[in-house]
Amino acid sequence: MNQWLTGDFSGVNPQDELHLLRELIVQSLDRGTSLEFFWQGLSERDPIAMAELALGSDAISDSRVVRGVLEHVRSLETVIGPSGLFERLVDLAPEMGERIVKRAISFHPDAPWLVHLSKKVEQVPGTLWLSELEESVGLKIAMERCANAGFNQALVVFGERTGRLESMVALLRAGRHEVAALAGARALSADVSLPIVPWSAAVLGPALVPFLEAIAAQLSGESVTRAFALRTQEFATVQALLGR
Amino acid sequence: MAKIAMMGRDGPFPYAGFFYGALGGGEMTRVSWVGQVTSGSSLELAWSASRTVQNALMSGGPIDADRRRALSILWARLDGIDRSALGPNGGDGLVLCLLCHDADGLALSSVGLDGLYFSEFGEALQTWVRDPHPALGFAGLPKKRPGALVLHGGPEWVFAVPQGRGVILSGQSLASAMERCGVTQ
Repeated sequence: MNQWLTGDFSGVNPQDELHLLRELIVQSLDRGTSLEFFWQGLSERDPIAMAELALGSDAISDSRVVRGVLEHVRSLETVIGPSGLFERLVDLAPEMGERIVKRAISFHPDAPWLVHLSKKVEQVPGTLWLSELEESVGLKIAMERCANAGFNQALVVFGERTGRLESMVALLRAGRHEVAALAGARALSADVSLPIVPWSAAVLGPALVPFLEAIAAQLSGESVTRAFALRTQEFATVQALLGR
Repeated sequence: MAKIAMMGRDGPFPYAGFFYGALGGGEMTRVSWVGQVTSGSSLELAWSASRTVQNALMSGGPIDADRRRALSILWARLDGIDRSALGPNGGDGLVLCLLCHDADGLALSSVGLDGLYFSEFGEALQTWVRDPHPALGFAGLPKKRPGALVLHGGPEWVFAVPQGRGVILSGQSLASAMERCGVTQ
């Protein structure tokens, strides 16, 4: 069995020795012995056996096991679908939820099942998804998925933190106009120079003015109100709402 | 008085460069318009270009003339536009529909449209005119005045489809057409 700890499974069919492999894992955890090469070797030799040990009904619920297995999810994905794989990992080690979600995002940035995984793990679903893809071309699709899933808070906070209008646009396109107005107002509060009127107009066209009125109702602070008033001078009803 | 709406483009920003407005009414001829400046540039430039056309049409205020003359005056308001303000293509992609309504009926003229459809009494859309037609000029700031459709009375709703959209609205319900044109009640 010691050779297995070095990742050497030659001469062995791991699927025939699952009980011994499981015993070795338990012993190693008790003794604090590293399983790094064990998982490495097993992922290369027999991903099915690895899946059975790491994820099966008798899998050990230990964050040390999940941490080791997380390094080899690509290999596990050859035998088990990623949606079920990541969800099972969260079940086995909920305390590692965020790390698992981040790994899932890195490999599958636009997967629709990230919606369910986010809800399972995060207090504010979608937060990790958006922050992990902040500088990525995959951000747009992630935002669409978050908007359609109703991850309003994550989108609003993202827009405010980054001073970007994409959150507002994603929410508008998902038909969530009220939250989109909040997202726009919050983004504007972070950066008063944002081109909020052109972006809103480009999405809404003839429905622009009611949306600008909704943004006006969400604004707080003199400088942001003044900036918005300057940009909406041609819209009398918006100006009235702003007290201009 | 006829209301007018226009389809946006495909994509995440269907109304980039879009503009609409109206002047007059009551005793005066009511003029209204809807259009889009397809500048092919940033959203900010598209907005700026749309304001240029919008402001030109608004300049001079309500028009004290019959519907035919009002149409001519509206076109003339575009003559002084600085083309460089309409984006890199100088307004070559301008789509615009002008509608003038007086006590006797309406006059309509446009550039950049593939077709016009109408709805009355809340019913499904019917085809009004399809390209080619004198009232449907080529896209862009017109070098000479486009033709016009002049008639007594007029429908309740007019829907415009820009060239290149490949969309036929006849048979669509009024609600569906309004949704496709971004119009909320």
